[in-house]
Amino acid sequence: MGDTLPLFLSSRKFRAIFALTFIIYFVFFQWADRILLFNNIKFPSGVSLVVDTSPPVPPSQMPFPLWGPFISITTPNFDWAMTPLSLGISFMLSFLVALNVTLYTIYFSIIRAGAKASLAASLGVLATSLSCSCELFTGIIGSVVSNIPFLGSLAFMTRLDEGLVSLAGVLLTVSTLVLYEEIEGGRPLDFLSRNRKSLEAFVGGGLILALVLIPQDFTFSLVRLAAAISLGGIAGAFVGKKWRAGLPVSVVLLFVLFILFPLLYQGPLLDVIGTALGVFGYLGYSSMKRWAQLGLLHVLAWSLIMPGPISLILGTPIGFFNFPSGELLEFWISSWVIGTPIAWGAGIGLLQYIRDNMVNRERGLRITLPTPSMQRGGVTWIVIGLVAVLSQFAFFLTHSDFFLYYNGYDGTFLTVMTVTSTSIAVAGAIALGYGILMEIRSRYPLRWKVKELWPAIPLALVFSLLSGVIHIAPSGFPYSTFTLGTFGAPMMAPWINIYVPRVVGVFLYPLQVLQIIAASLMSGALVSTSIKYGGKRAIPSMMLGSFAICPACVLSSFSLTTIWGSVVGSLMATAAGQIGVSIASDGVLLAALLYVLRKASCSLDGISKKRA
Amino acid sequence: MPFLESEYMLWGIGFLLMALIYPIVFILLIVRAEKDPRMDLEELARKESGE
Repeated sequence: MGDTLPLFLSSRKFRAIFALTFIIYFVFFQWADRILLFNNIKFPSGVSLVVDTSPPVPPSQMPFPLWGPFISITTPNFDWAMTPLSLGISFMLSFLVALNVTLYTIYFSIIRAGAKASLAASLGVLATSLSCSCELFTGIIGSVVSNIPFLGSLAFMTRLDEGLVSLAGVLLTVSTLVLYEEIEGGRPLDFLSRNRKSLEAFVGGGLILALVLIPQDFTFSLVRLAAAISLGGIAGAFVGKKWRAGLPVSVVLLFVLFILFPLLYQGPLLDVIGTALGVFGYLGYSSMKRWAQLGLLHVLAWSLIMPGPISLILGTPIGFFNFPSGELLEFWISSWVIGTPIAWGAGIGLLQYIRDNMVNRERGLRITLPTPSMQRGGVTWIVIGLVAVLSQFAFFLTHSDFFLYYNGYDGTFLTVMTVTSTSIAVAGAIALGYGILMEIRSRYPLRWKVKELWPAIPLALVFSLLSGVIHIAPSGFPYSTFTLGTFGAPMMAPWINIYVPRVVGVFLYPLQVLQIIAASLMSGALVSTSIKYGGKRAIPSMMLGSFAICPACVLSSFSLTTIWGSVVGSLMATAAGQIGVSIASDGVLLAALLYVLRKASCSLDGISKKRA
Repeated sequence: MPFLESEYMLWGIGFLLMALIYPIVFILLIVRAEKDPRMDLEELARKESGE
């Protein structure tokens, strides 16, 4: 049994589950997000396929996921619009959903393999299918907004859509990590019960804050109610008593509350009654057995979730008294959003319950995941990183309007473009650095302990001071204390400017931060290596060691502007020139580090490695 | 006035059941089952496995 998971991972069955879920979900998400439309279009005779690269309206007026370079495929049967952003979002969500479903199935297989009784297996099927469908519904949250005909303003819809996509991404990622840990045999959620009191206090504070902040209108009234009930539940936990009749009392109260909902939804009475029924409910809930508690949580969560998707399928929201349908849709969507984490938690809880009570641990269900193979080699990472960075560079050169052209309306669009592009470029830069590190490691004994890299911290401070990231005691500028630039060239934005007159001024942007980190780490390594081996092969290493203290300040682009500003001014004037010089300085620093390492390794084993 | 005026209302019945009636039924079921002394899952699992 010890090799269960590798077996699972290599098993064709689970690969098939993953692939199938991914493909079906990808197409489904495209369809639900209204990016892929199935319809009958009458084409002129002789035409059966139209590929178009220009969007029907200017790019900044396109709906949210369809931003960036555009391509659409139209055939008589379907019409499919694509941008890198829309494909990326669908890919990410489908990947996470498929991964989660596969992990749940693996978890279930493990439970079934060690099950003492058939009961465990059949309960496991139930918990797994509930959890899997929860993941599916989480994934669709992101596509909800495009199904709302018109809601407030376009900017609001865009923000809601982005918010929901990120919410779905976060929930699915957390779920993946927890499941992975669970399968590995860890107890990822145990810290919640260990720090119970402080957690309750923290969540209670958050809920009070939420009740203060959430507007008192109809659309959020169910969210307010849920928050009030949870607050009552936490208060009940602090009371710490058990009272079996609490649950019926709370159910009756809730029933009355829903009958009088049109009268109560605006007033503070909703919060008061909600809190009260939460207290009673918790007193009853805590007296129940664990499986019944989990069952209740499941039912509550699913009845919060279901009206949302059902409304989307029906095309008109499920009625609730006579509230207008636009508000009703938001009402059900917000309840869907709060129901999702509860359903997920209940699903994981049920699986844990089954594992702890009905699975035979002696059968050796100690499973270790295979360590990810490091055989991939640095070149792969370097190529991936280069593609990421260069594609964003090319994207900016060819579509600079998407980043810079501000006409007063497109703030969100420009920000999303900049942040997306910068994230890809940063990820690419990190992949590139990692690839280079792996390539070096395969040639030199490149092993530093954490304490040997400590010189990097003071060096980073020195570099930031010398290169103009941090200015001491600036004065006479008209900046406000805190300025955030949200759009601009990728890697140059988003930027932060902190300005406290006569105390300190800080200007940060992604490329610079990466540069400081890279330069100070390399210099720190250079210094510690020189000190470590300097005694044996004194002269060249020590020279380079002293060189390490200054390379970034002499070579990095930022100080070049301050020290040699007039000399290389013209070169530094363009972004490309600046990036070029800055990367060149990293190259020089890396070469110095390699030279010292070579000397060090030669002096260590006395064999000159002529491999590099 | 006919009871069902459109296909939407026909679907609505099923969906109403799913979103409103089933949760109530399930909650009652869980609460009742929890009170029943015969319904002890851990004991049941132990018995089934013959320990």
